[in-house]
Amino acid sequence: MSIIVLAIVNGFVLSSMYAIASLGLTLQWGVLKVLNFSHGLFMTWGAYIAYWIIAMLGGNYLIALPSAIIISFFMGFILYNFIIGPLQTRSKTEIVSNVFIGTLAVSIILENIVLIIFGGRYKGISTIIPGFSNIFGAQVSNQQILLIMLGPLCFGFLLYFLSRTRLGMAVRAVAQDNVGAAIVGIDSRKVFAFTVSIGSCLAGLAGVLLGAYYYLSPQMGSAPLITALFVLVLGGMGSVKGTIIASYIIGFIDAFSRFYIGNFWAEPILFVIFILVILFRPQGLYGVK
Amino acid sequence: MVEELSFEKNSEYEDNIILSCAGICKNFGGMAALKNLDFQVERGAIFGIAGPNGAGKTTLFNVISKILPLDQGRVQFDGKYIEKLSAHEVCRYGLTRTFQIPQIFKSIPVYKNVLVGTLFGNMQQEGDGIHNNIEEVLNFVGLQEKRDKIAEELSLFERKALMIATALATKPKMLMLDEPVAGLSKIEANHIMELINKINDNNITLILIEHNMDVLMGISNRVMILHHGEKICEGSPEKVCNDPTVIEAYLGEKYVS
Amino acid sequence: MKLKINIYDFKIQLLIISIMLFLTLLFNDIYVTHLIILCMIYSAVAMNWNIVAGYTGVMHIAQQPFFVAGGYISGILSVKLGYPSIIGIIAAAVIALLFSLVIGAVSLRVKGIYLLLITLAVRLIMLSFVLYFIEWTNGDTGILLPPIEILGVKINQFNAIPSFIFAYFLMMASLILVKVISDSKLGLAFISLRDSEIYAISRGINPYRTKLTAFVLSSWLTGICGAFYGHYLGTIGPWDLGWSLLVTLLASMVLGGLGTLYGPLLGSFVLVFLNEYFRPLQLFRPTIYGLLLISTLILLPNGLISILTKLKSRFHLNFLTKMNIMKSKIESGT
Repeated sequence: MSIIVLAIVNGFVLSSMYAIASLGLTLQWGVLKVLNFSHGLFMTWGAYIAYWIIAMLGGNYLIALPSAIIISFFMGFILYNFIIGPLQTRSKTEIVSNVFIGTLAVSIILENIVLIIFGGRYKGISTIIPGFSNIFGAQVSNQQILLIMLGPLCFGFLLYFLSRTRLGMAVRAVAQDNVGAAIVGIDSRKVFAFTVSIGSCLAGLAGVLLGAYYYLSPQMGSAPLITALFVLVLGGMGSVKGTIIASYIIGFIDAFSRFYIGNFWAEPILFVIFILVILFRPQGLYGVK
Repeated sequence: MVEELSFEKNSEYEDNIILSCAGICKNFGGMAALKNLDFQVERGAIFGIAGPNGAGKTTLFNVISKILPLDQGRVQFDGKYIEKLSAHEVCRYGLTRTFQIPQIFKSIPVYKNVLVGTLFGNMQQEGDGIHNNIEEVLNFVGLQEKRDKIAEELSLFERKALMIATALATKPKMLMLDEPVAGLSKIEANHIMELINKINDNNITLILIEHNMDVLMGISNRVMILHHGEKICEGSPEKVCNDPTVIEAYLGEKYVS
Repeated sequence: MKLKINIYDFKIQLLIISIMLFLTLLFNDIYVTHLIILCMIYSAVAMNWNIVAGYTGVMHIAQQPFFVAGGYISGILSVKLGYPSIIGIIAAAVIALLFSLVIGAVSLRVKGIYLLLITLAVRLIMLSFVLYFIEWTNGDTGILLPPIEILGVKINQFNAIPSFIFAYFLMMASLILVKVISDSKLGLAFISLRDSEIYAISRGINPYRTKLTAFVLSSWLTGICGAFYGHYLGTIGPWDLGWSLLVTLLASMVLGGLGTLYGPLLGSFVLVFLNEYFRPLQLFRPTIYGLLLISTLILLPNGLISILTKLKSRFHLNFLTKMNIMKSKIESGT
């Protein structure tokens, strides 16, 4: 009985983390129409910044979390201004290819730096909130409860931001039609820079949570990136609503397959489904085609 | 490699109609870009299409040339129904088009641009005929001097001429030109007009989309005006210019040619 | 009669490259030869990849699966099934070809990022298969391959000269393949699709079939290169499907010049030798590669070859001007 409860709890936790990781990526895709392959490494950096502050400087999460988010924001800003931005203006036709190579290059640099500074050994950081609580007869860690809440919280903030604030509406305008947005006086470049920054700080947040929930390694970002890609394709690249729903679908499938299957075929089948969705319903659940 | 292409021959094949469109419908999402369009083009004619922006003119071209799929309707070209063809096959049937924004193969020289049309657009071309075809076409449009220039270095006018050249290289029976003189000076526009007349003199039917009324009315045998995806008038230039619906929707005042 | 050597003649260029390569053997240094062999193999794969990514404009990352599949097929046939290596190599070519046919047929139904993502998924599927079917692939450990044996001559990293010659032939074959394609009707179709797909289609080019042809043409030699790579180094393993090799190949292509004949060749040589020059900074290699890639993308998007092309046209222009001046002088009787 409690195995199912554990699986459900884990499902909520994973879904929440996948949601945070994917929301940043889907925002960037929806607004800039490019895929930021360094997103995974931004998660890794978020985790290592937290590690540095907590394990090496003796700080705690109250400092580490905001620091990771803020530093990721600025890193995203730099990423846009020095790499994605220049590549956007360079060539309309090769933009996908260029941004792919460019962000891939960024990711290998970022991974290398982490390896050099921190070494390749797995590292751990303390739990965010220690202790356990009793929910429906199962022991759930307080950290898990926090993680479960953070996903919907981020989603809520994002939704509020996009629909209620001026900047958010500018973001939506540029996502829909950046020429039209320019006509009404919106500076696309600023919106692009901001979107990449926000997307990156979501990645940084996701990274801290992943580092706390699991462990850290220089390659820790690659599996979450693949999962985020999966979520994006399933939910609809660029659709915030689709991304959230897909995160929960995939989060629960992931949680239950860990408890029940432990099977090799789960992974390749997931990739085949990925390919099939791209082939037959590239707009996913809620995306635009 | 010769592909076997299947086509249906219309039993009511009319010799002097080269293009016949019936019931053409095209939707984008919820929006109807073309609604039940019917029209015919006579062989050897110059047929003009005009209308306000967003009327569906380029969409019509896209649907006939199969760049976009047709939602409903039939398109009969030279006696064959072509709605089921793929975009690249349409060219080989003798129907070639140009684009509103001049397209070039920018990294190769002018003569190679034309070579593409020769080699791929008309399956019968193999051997020595190729070289002659290219020279002939380049001379015809006046780009002979620039044959070795890399296409990226051409001016707007030269690019438009090159686009027409590659179309001619495919040995079309009908040419569809999408705003051939847009953005050109009066002299350049006149050059293109002369070219169009020369093409027509060679028994190639032409369909033109144009906003420039001087050009369109001056050269067309027949004109069709589109508005919101529907045909609001069709006939000789004089008739169309004086039609009250057209004046209200498009011309704005009585156009005196 | 004066012997005119036209350096714009392809055969002369091949000769120059061959001479330069064989001269390196004079160093009589097994390590240098090893590096050159790696360069030649990487450049061969990059040149084949360039057919699709550079000439046809279809960016994908399936090239690595073709390469590694070749290595594994030859490894499995040689080690697990005991076939002579020559069979392994032929099988590598055939399997890589079939593989590319299937992957191409599927991926080319979509474009751009979606195509890229499908090839990414393929790579990951292959990786998980390699790790799972341990009886065939030895999973994590990889396969230890025996040397290639042709007519009694062994080819592996302990036999430098035969390996050099084999790799040399693979590189030359790739170079000639790319050259023949780029001068052919098919090559024109590739370039047209890259420069303006919709225009190419409107002039009669079948996009799907043409791109699929590009895929298939680019895979068989890559498979053979993979087989050679496995036998030469003596191992093939899941690490060969990692980002490191992908980035090396990608960087060779991009740094040298996408869509150019000699670009990937130049790129891979520059990279391998930069790698050696910065040996003490080995730890920073990914960062250096990454920075090189980014700089190339932003500052020199047409690659290193574009520098040579600019020099050539400037030289040509000077030369032509001088010729014209001389010509007019002769004609006016000066």
